[in-house]
Amino acid sequence: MDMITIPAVNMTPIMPEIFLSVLAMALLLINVFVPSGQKSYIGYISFIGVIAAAVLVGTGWGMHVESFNGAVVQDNFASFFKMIFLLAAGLAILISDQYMVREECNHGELYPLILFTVVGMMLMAAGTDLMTIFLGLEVMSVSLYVLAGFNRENRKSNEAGLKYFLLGAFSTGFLLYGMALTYGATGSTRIADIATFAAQQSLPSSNVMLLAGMLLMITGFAFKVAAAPFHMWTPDVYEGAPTPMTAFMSAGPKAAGFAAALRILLVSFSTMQADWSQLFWVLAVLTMTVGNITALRQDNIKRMLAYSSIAHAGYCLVGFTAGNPTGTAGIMFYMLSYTFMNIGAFAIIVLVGKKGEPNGNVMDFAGFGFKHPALAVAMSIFLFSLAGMPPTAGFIGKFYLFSGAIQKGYIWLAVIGVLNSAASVYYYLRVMVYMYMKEPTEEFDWLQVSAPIALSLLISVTGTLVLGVVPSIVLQYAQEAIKLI
Amino acid sequence: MEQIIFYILAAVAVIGTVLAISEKHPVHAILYLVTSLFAVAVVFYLLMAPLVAVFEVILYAGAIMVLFLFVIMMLDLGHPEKGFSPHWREWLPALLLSLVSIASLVMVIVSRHSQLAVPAAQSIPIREVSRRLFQGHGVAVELISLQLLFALVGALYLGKQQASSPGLPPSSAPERVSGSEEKSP
Amino acid sequence: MLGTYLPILLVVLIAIIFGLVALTFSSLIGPKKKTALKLSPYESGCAPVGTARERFSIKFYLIAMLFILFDIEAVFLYPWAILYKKLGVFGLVEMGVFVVILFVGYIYVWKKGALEWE
Repeated sequence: MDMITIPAVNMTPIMPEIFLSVLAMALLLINVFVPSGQKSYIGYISFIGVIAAAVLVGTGWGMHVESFNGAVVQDNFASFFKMIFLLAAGLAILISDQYMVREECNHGELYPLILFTVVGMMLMAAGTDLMTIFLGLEVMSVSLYVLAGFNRENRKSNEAGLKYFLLGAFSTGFLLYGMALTYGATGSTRIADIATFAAQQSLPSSNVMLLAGMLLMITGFAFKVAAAPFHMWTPDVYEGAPTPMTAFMSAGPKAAGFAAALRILLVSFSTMQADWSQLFWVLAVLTMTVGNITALRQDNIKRMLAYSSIAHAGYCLVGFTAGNPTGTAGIMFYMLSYTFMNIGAFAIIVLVGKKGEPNGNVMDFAGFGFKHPALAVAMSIFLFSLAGMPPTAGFIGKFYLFSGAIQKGYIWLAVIGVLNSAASVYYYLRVMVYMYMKEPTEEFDWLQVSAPIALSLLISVTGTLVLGVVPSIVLQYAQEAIKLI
Repeated sequence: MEQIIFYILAAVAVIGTVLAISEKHPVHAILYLVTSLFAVAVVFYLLMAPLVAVFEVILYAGAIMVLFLFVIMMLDLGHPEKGFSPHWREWLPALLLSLVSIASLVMVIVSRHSQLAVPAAQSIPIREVSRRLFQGHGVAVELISLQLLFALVGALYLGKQQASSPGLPPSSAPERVSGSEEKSP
Repeated sequence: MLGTYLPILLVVLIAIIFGLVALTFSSLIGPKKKTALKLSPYESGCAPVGTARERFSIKFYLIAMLFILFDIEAVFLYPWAILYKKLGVFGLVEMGVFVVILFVGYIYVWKKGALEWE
């Protein structure tokens, strides 16, 4: 007790996090000290900040540094996911400005909150201690609750924020209970120590406390990534939240949930893989099926994409079930592809929405293909990719997820996944039918496409196509990352 | 002796929480919750964790309950004690859920007793808590302050009334009161 | 261990007894005149006006929220203060960052005007 060994503090692993936190706080203060109506410049600064953070993450590629007594780590796994988060945040920032100005809600708090969400997500991916992961998750969630309710004059947005908060807090309870039980069973919150403990047991799944802890943690993460049967909050929240934030929420936090769950399951509970594989089998089938079948009947396009987002989480859970390098690298690849294609699709929805009624219907796309051919082509690419058709990123991602399952002998799971994919084509193509085969119901105004949105569309289209045509340039990084976890 | 006290306190905590949920008057519910939290605090003390016990009282029974009270005052529930109780069928899902979690807890306790000898209780001095906190969880401490900062920002942002907005309609009609709070679960 | 808290327990007991004694004696000895005014609820010495069941401003809530946040700050300062000397520079930096972050929050709150009662 007398000697206190101060942990070796190495700031390198959390440099991007520190940078983004400081930037977020600085922007927060700039926001209150410069009282002007025009807040767009905060968005530009934060976009540049996101790029700088990405450079910081990129320079750390290939290094393996632990810090703070093993509470955080810098490895390729974390860096890969950090890139996804930064990409999601960057694209969301680009499409936010026009939307927020149109909805008269361009308050400067938006961008610091987005940056702060990214900090939370990064620590979820980089955390090697249950406490760090939990706090990262909470940091992420608290900011997301505010972002979901960001349009505070809009009742739908209020509802989204409140619902997300209540159910999010509820799911956090599960997660924390699971972590507490795991700590109680193993005596440590360090992921590596839990793994050591589990490896010493002849039959770790007979330790009820450890098993219960693992199950409750999986439940908590299932809530966060909106896996059925814990998906109930998703449609309402995604519909009510401001569209750019819906785009962000569907990509970034979901990837963060997968990152933390992957690290905990693959490291701590690798000896119990037989147990959690079975569970994920059921979760994956339920999530895919519920998401796709419900999406078939949606007319509101944001609700449709919300259910589709549930379905996509289901595809990723197929990768969890497999739990082998192909499947898990598939998850990482898929989340990256999903970030491109989904935020791209939401960017188009932002453009199509009108002031005061930003939650578009599928019918609003009638005749879109003739009025705005370029935007319609971009939307078609995103929809094709979401449906999983070659030569887009969505196809390659699904291919790796399902082949991972087949390698492990889960033939039926892959079959169910492919069938689900086929069903999903219906509702994605329905939008395209409206775009190209229906006459416009009302006169279209010439849509104003601001430069940031154009840039985000350009990035999304390029990403979706490049990942679809030459997936190996990214996939090799994902495989490299998963090997060294 | 300590075991008897523990079971009494545990019973107080559980009954207090149950009453806090079933009580229709929100202020009474809060008082039950405070009772329950005090019982939990003493349980922590019995478990040789005085620091946690003190924080439980200061933070939960003190500050957070004040927050709850303000929320109730803000909502203006009228006379909720005159509202209707939810039918027992509406309780069923909640009861099922709680039964499941209780069952899992019992299983955990039983398996733990069969597997491990309960380690001899030893007091955890505050210095030890603080050593663990700063040695192992330096990042976590900073994260908590960041989280507090942004919780503050969020609460202020969402709670601030626009000067232009007409504001909420004034005091509620009694019909609205009939237990919307209780029916939601 | 539990014994070290005995003095505190004694203080609490004495406080309770003192309060009880004062209340009992004043109710036993003191004169009682029940008038309508005396039996009405006490409201800062003024005559009660209206019902207490009305909507309170959200400002109260914000103030309570601020109170909790800085309360939690104190919770973390306490363990640090106990080990202040042994944690040395590391502890100082750690807590310095902690406080600075919350200070940013304080400035934000201040500039936003949440501390003013319009």
